[in-house]
Amino acid sequence: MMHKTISRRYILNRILLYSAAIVMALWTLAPIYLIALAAFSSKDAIYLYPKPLLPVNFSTETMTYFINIKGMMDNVKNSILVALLTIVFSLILGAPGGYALARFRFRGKQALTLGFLITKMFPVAILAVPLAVTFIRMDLYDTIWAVALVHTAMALPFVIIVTSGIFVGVPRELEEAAQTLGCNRIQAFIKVVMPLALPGLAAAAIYTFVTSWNEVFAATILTLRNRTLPAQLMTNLTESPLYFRYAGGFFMIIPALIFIFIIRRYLLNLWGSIVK
Amino acid sequence: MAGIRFQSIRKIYGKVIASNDISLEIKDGEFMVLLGPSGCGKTTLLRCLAGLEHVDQGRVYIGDRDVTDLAPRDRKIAMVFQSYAVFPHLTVFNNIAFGLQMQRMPKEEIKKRVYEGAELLQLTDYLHRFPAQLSGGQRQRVAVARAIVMKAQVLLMDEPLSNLDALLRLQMRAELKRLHDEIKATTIYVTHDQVEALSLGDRIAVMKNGKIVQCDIPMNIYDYPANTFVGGFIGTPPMNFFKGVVQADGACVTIGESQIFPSAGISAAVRVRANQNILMGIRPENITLVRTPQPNTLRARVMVVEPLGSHKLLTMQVGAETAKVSVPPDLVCTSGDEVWLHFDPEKIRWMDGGSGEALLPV
Repeated sequence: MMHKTISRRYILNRILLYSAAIVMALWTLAPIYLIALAAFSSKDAIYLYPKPLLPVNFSTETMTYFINIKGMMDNVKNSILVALLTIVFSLILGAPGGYALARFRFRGKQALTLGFLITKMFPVAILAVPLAVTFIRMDLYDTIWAVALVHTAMALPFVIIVTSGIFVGVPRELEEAAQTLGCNRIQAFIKVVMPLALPGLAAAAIYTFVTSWNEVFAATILTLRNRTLPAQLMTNLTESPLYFRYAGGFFMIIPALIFIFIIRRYLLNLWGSIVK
Repeated sequence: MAGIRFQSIRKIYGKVIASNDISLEIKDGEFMVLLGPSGCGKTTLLRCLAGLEHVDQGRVYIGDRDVTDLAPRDRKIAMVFQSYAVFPHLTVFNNIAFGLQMQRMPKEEIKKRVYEGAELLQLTDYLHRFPAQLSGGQRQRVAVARAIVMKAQVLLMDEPLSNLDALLRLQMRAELKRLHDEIKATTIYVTHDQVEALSLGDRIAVMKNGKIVQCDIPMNIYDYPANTFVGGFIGTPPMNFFKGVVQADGACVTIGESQIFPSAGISAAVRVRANQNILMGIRPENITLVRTPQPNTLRARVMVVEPLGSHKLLTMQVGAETAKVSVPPDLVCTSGDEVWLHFDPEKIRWMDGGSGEALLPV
């Protein structure tokens, strides 16, 4: 009797768990699917009503149109460059910062950590105008460098805090052991800390990429001709046809999806395998 | 191979003095144990020698070299860490080879040495595994092998056995001793386990509050503790202490209602302390029970009897104090018995009632 009730409850729990998981998955997947569906239909099919939920009107017409719009590929290239620059900048600046927070005790450490987060309090909208003025003075306005710098500033607090969490997870004794075995501090970092921190650093890099890829506001204000993809889409959105919007939307999603798939293994690794 | 010399080492963390002018000399090939409760500064001293901490004052010598300002890698030391610090991203082979690879040793030589080390620590079958696939004891062996293949002048061990379970600890203890006999490197071993210290050390330095309280061979530490701290820290159960007063004529010591006469060797030192407080330190195994009142004994009541196989451990009420007595396993006694404790006079350690320092023969 006892046994039976337990197994019944177990099954019920499973059902609830899986329904919740399915709902959450649908919440994310349904819009992606609908956008993909529209992006890979013919231009006219988008206006059909009722809309078929299966790709019956499969066509690459919309996407071909989108890709062949003059300058669109330049925007994509800009976006990718900006995102990559942002990753490089924020890891070069953020990882050592995170390492310092993780390893060294110093006066004002708490305040400093809080200070990093406080920078997130200022809306980009407020910062964008003075930034634009500054960049014009520095002759950086309307370059991918300007956008990358702003994106770096936006991602940096997160990168510092996340990487410091990663470095804390790498026991100090490992580094010290490497030092007694013939490494100097830098070699110990490269040979022991880096390999162990890599999954976490990769996750930070992904976050940075997605942050930069999706950022619209600063990118729109700080560029005129050298637009990133979201900035370009944003400016054209209201006056463009529906199929353009769907194609653009789909294009925005792709890199994030690809990145997440590549990095998924590392993310799981990160949670599973930081060894004591 | 080389000896080690600490010369008035001082190390301060904020307000805590971790090393308070410590001087210590360790002979070439010696196995020195630093023993003390947690926070006594023993690990700090070891880390100062390894170069992982900078001393605030004093010099450290390995052989004739002043290594005080050298980086860890230039000190020709090898260290085993408490947490093993085995690199999780490298195989056992690469873990053991790590230090040799850093020296840019030829591949063949590395391979030879790694196999030697693995052989010595019975790791040959595990060379291609990752640390996550090993048991705690095996990981411990990897850490030791990694240090040994360096063939360093000095081998440092920071509580290497404290994370192992009791049985494994016993095994590894014997193995470390065998290993030291084989490689004969000057070894400094940090532990808070007094049994480990007694079993492994050529000498033991007992530490407390950043100072070395006593440094001697294990049997002297055990039999002739320098003060109540050492007597109380070493031995399970620790030394018993009875409060007493030296009689006016200095000939004997009054403890409760009884008189105890010091042995000839120490009587002069006791005599000069007439009317002063004094402590009688005696180890549980140096007490025998007698059933009738006799001179030189203390009356006691048995409170608890614990049969431990090889011996019985008795907890005694002696006046207002309690004492532990170790007796043969076949001795018949039950709680409530009234007995008299007789002390082996040569084994009594008399200590100053105020400072707790042992009296020395004058």
